[in-house]
Amino acid sequence: MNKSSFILSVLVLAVTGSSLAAPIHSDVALTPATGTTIVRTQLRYTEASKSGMEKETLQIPLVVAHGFTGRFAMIVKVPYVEVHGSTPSKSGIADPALIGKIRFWQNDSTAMTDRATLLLGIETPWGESGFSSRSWDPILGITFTRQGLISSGRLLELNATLTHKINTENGGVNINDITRYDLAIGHQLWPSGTADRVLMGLLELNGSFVATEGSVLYLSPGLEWISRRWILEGGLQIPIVQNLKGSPFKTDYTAVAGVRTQF
Amino acid sequence: MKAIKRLGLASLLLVAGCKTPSDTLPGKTLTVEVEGLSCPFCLPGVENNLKSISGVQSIDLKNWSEGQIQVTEIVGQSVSDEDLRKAVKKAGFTPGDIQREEKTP
Repeated sequence: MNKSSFILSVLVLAVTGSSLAAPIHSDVALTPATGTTIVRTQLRYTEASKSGMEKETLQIPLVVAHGFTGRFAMIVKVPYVEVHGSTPSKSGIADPALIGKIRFWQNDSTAMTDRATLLLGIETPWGESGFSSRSWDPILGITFTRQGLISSGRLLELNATLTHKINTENGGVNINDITRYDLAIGHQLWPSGTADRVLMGLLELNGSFVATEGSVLYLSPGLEWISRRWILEGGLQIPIVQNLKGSPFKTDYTAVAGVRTQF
Repeated sequence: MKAIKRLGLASLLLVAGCKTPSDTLPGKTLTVEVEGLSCPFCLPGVENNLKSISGVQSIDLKNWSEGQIQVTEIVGQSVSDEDLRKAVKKAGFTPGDIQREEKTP
């Protein structure tokens, strides 16, 4: 496997969070309301290094989610990628993905919800050369969310997501199966009580595992400003575990800024 | 005389272009209990689905954290409990009791 592709493919799989108040790097078990469309994009800047060489990756995923029923939404994800560094710079569109999100369990109470959804999708081979697996790769996932107001009147959000992408052909840049696991907690920092505009502090653990290549685990602090129509977000991903076989580029950090809106 | 006729015609056109009072005047206000509203970004989805019901004049979300949404009917029109519950479910939330107040704001 092309080692630089491991970091790239993990990043591409990262932004499936496309609905409502999802964390910055992972997904949430809430789906857009019937007839509601959510558009989300991020700037994801990664610095990686090995043996004195450095590489910079800029990712701009565009994610569009539409609610078809109260419990089913479709998500289209198109990632744009630029890589600069020790090898010749390159840029292009990575493999677009189409993902269905189906909520199969829900327990609502006043200003609080517990939900679980299935993610069923396919990553297409339509990305540009050097950014594509050249194969149709199924994506399977499950996500659980507890979100709502706690006794202090502030929002609390807990998310857990497990996602697996099956590589069907090992063609192109030879990206193997990837398993991702994410845990996220969010807590309202401002204001002190219920409001229509809130600032959330987030802390995520984002892990990825490829059997033949190794594993990475990031600690990801961040901030989200949430209003009725807009969410602005910013955060860092700091590697705390990088058990990669061979001598690939290792991530130093990823900085993320993003926006999402609904209509 | 011509000026008066023109003024009269302009007034008629202006009135014809406006909605009739019955389309815009607020009628009775209902309180719909909605469970699962868990953040501000959730609100437009339920607002849009409730607004799409025929006979709804306006939505008030200021008590969302208490799980309550106020729905005001167009005067002279009535919105059924079934339509309200369907709209809440379409938005992905759980409808609760619906209280009808026999007063106009």
